[in-house]
Amino acid sequence: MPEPLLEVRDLTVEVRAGGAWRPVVEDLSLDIHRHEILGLVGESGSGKSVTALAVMGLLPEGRVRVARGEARFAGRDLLALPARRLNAVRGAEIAMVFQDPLTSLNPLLRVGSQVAEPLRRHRGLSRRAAAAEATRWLERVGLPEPERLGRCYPFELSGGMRQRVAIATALACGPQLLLADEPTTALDVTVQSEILRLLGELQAEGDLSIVFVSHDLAVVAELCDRVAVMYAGQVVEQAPADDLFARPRSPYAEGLLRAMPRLVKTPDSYWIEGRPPTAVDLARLPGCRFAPRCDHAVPACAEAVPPLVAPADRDGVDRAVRCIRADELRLEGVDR
Amino acid sequence: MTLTGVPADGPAEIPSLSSGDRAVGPLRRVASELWRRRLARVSGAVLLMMIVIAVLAPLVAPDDPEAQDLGDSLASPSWAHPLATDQLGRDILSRLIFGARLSLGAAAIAVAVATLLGVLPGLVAGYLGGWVEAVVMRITDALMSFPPLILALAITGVLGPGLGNAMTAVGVVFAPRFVRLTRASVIDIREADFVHAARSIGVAERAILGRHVLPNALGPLVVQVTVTAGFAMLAEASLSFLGLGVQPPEASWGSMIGEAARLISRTKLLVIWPGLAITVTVLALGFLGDSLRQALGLEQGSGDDA
Amino acid sequence: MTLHETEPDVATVVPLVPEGSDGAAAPARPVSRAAAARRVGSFVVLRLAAAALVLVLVSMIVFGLVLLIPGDPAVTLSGELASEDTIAATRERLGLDDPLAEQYLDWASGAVRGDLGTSLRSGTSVADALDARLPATLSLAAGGLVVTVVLSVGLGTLAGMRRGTWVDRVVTGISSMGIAMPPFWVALLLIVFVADGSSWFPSTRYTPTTAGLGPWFRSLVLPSIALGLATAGEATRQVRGAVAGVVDRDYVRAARAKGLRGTTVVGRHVLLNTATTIVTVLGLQATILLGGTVLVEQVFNFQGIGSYAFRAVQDRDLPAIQGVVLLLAVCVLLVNLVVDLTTVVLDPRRRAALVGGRR
Repeated sequence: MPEPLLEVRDLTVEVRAGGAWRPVVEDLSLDIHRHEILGLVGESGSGKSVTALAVMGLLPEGRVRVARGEARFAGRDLLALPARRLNAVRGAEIAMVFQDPLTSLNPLLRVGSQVAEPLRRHRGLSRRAAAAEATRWLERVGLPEPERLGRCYPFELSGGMRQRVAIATALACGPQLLLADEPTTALDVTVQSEILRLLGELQAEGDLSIVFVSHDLAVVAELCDRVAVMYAGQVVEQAPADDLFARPRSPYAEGLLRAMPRLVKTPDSYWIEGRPPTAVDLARLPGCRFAPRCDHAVPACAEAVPPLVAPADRDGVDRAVRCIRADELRLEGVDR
Repeated sequence: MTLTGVPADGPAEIPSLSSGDRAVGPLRRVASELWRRRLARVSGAVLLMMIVIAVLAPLVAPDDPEAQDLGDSLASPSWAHPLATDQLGRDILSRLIFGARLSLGAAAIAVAVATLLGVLPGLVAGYLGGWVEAVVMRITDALMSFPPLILALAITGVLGPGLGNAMTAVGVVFAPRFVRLTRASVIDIREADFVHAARSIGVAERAILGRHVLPNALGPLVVQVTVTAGFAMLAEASLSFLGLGVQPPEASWGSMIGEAARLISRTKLLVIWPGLAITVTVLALGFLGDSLRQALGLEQGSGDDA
Repeated sequence: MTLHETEPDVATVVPLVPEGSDGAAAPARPVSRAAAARRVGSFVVLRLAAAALVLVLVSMIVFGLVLLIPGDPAVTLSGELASEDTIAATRERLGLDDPLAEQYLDWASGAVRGDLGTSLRSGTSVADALDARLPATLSLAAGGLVVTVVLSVGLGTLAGMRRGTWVDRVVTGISSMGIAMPPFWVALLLIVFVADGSSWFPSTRYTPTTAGLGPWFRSLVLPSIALGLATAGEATRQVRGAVAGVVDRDYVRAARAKGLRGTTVVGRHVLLNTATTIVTVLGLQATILLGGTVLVEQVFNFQGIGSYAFRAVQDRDLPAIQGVVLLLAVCVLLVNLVVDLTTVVLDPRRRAALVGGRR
């Protein structure tokens, strides 16, 4: 297998809470390969967005810090790069799209000039050349009348249009990796699928990988090749999308799948009882973090945190599960 | 808990702390928040010290502030006179201590005047709305169109020099800010749900005002009082420096600077002490106001500027 | 040390194009230039009308000062040693026998024409005296404003971007001190410890530009510092607050994600979005600066409007007092108007809301 585009190893991010540093992401390891779309799924507070921000070096200063770990991208450890070198990578080789396009665009600058910004910064284009290239990108993300639209301000556009602009801004310099942090969450459902389709197209056309962070499994199902499921700061399952949906190996993933609303209404809807542990709770949880909510938990589960390993009968598929009972449990999947 | 449809926390998902559930009265909570902050403790202590010194001035001051000793005029600092003497041989330290009474007292009076003149119209304007509110707010706007010191100067000018007149003028100058603040608070609260609830079960208007509106408006008000006290001190100092406030032989810190200014060619030191006293006190008031604002959970935007 | 209401910023704005429609929004019907111009025009006119209303109220308050004079105004204003004749003359000159409304209209109509009456003490035209002194005070106020802007934007941005660090605490401390130090005290200290014996900065007197730009500038340095320090302190705190509020916004983070240089991020993204707040804050501080000129001009022996005001008060020269106060209030109203219009111009959302229609 060719070398991964991005290798995250043992990433631990801590937050200052209640007078001490507590981990919100712990010993997280992930690979993203070229030409693939990886879905990073989890509930609120699972640490998925924090992971993406940590890789980009965008964690808010002071209250949050990367305690250890590395993120190797094209031979460099992003987490160890000095600010100036990291700035050269950001926008040019790795880019990010955020959740709320209204707030992630500068309200006082015209849309076109915001797309042109990274072009001028990284490619040194003149104002006119950058504007032309920006217009081309606006067209490529499906915006009508790109020249006129480029002169608009963000507030004049709809949510879907703004997110397209954000995508154009991110991809303008042709990065190899795009981190998308819940890019469709703030949009209407109809607009969501348009954006997903756009992302799929852009990824297929060019040399692009996408990490798609979301809490919405249905959305992930539509777009992603592989999926990593996070819970309480750890990856608990990792598998190709088809395999995960057909047959999850971790109780948490099974719970998520069952809780997904389906078009065909079943009389009893399902949800996972309880809530994810907080940073303070974690200090009192020596074992598996999902155990308190797990239908299949046994006393052994509470003793130690299970390692993330490949299940015994994986049939040659690249999978990993964090559950000591993974091999024995027969869990149910869904049709995609 | 369903997963789909649960809105995400936003980009930085920091897990929330499990909150301890304790029903503590709001006053106690604010007080303990205040106590936690070192800045509040220090500035509070400084202010308390100033007030105590002012109140106990006759006991604390080494000499009679008005006792002249012309043979000892403009002497250098010494054991007998740690802060030197002025041109009439009066002990500076004692004058400073007694000056605290006037400086602090004057500021307090000015703030009281401003509060009284401002809160009532603000309450009325906010609660009644309509043309009453419009008239009150236009007058407030007009008053705020004057540079504060100029207006205070003019009012003092026509009333005649004297500390009482000066402080009345300062009070009038700062009243508009209280009007705005109170009105804003009233409007905020009047539209709040719990007031609607009270009204719907038939509680009288006056009771609503007194029991619901007023206590919630108190927070920003207290902050504003603290901050205004500082500016009132500076205003009194300015007016007294110009000779329009405190009249001799009485002395406040401001007028002491004025006197020292006239002697600047002969001695440079006299200017320093009263100015330092003013600075320290206003600084303490400012920090206390900051801490109060933090303890009450108000953002920087609460209260009007002064 | 508090703040007036800050401008509401980003996310509360409702987009003009309704949500739910996808990228294929129909091209909007542009507003005709005539209609747009009309809307802008009526906005400006409305603002002017509101300012005029306040001005009328202001003039009433200024005129009303005469009512505060204790005792018989003519007697009080004539001074203690005045003879019967002088008192009668004063009463005549000020028209104190006429009904109040008539007095007001007399005075107000004169003011509108630029006639602010004659000084009780010197007998000269108040308006002329103020006119002669305007350059000095304007230079001083401008100097104070420069000091305020430079310090507040520089330090405030620094502190706002590094909130919670020692830089922030130091800046907050310095600005708090600036606010707490009485301007006249600062002025005295500067004279005593800086200007004294220094040939660089003269310790007194305003030097008009006619004597050369160099001397003019040097005569302004120390007084501007004394005047601007307090307002700089307050403005620094506001700027810091505004910057701190913006720095955490998503678009700043997105700008960083684009790999933009630090200066670009600060300039185009942070400061641009705090511009309206900064302008508003500076407008407020300009008001305070005008008041502070009284003190600083006294200490530095400037012959400006501030010292004129003080002398007028000392002499209980009613027309002079009223003239000065009115003039300064008008200045404040003008500043407010400019700030108002500028904040609308700076924000494209408000511009669009003003012009109406869709692009």
